[in-house]
Amino acid sequence: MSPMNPSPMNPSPMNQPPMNCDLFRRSLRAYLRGDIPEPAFGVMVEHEAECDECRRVVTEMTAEVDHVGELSFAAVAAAETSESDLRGTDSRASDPQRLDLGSLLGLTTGADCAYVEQRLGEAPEEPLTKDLLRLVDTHLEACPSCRQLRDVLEDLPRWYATLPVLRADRAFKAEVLRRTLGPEPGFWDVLRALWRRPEAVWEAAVACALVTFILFGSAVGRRAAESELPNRASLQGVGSAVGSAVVRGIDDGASRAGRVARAPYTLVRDGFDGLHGFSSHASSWMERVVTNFRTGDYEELLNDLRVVLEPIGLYPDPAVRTADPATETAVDPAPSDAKTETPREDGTQ
Amino acid sequence: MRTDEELFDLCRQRDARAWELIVERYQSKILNLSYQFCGNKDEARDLAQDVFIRLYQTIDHYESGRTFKTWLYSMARNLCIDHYRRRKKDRRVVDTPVDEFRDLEGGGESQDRTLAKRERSDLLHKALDTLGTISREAIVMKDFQDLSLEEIARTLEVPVGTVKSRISRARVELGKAILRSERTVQS
Repeated sequence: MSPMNPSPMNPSPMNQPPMNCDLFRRSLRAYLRGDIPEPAFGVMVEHEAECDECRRVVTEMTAEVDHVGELSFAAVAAAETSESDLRGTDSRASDPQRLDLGSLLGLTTGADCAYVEQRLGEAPEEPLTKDLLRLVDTHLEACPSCRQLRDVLEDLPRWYATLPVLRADRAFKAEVLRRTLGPEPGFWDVLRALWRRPEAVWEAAVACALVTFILFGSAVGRRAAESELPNRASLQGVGSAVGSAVVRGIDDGASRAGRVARAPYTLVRDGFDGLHGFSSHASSWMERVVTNFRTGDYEELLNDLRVVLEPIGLYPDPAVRTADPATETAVDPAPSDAKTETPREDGTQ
Repeated sequence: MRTDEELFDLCRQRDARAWELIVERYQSKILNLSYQFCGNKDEARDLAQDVFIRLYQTIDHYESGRTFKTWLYSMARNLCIDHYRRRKKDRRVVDTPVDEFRDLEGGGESQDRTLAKRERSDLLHKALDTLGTISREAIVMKDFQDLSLEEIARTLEVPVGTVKSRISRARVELGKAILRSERTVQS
């Protein structure tokens, strides 16, 4: 049967009849063989999907079709019979050569091409039996178009390899997650999630205590630094008194433990002292810088900057700073002379 | 490592990390499936994202006994086919951008070979575009995605025999379309 013949299973696309169970089952063998062209094939697929009864029939028939070549052998046998009928003899009884199905298939046209194409299409999954292979080979020898098709089908993996393989990047995943789970959680969302944990209360308490201590401690330190000795002394006095009392109490039990216990207090006191010294130093330096800048005393300003920049290596060497290409060769390379001429080194100037 | 089904069960309990893992595991496969259906990189990206969004929206409809992969592929297939049918109305020749070939090329490959590969890819795209929806999905699922016949049958909810005949028919159609395209180019 040629796929192009007008038949119930090969309707014209323009006047395609509505599919019903009767038409579907009449066309079923051709459908399973793959002999139904589009769009009738699509109509049958849709009917199969919609009709439970027809789907059951398809499932039963599938077992039959899965038995490789059964239908084709039936078709060939039918062709043989009709040829015998035409000759008026039983060719199979009189001439054993007539049983050569390969020759018969090779000599025929139309439907045989469709059959061979179907076998070629399923070849990778369904290796042909020896007999079928012989049938197909015989046909291929006589049919150039099927040979061409076989070559292309065998070459399909190489064709497929030309398609690019895409890789999903991070942006793809981020976009999918954003569109499904919502946007990335903000600061407050994270905070809320953290707060919901059972241990969050203790963590918050410790954090609050720490923050309070830092704020309180710095405020007291600042006040002591601003009001100079009396307050600072009183702070230190209170600290010393408390510390000494604690230390004395502990010393009664164990003097070693007392020394250890005194250490944090001493550390805090030294810290305050250091902080106070540094802040006094820094504020007086800043005042000097601002005053020099306002009065235009740039030499002094440079000297002030030098105090800060030189220890960290950012203040340029005066010899290099003032040198220009013309005078550079005239600079005396002797380091001892240069050192004695540096105004700040010996305190004179 | 957790199975897809275990992860998806966690997703149903709104476990964001499990969902992230599912997306990571299947994003490239679905992206390529979409690309093989629509033949355009940008459209494929949008389509693949839509697949995951649909999957997330219908997360509660998942039947626990069902294979997750089959569920995902059937959803992806439905969306891809819808897209393919819509696009068929204004079908055009897909022009694959050159940058899509960067991943494929080795360092020493010559420009001629790159061009030849691109020509073949264009021909294949043209041939694929001539296929019907059913044939195209058969080719994509079996030959591109390398799903087993049973997986395809479960995804499409048809008998295995039907799947075999569709694949066979689709390959023949594709082979003929390639031959036609080659003849057109040669002439």
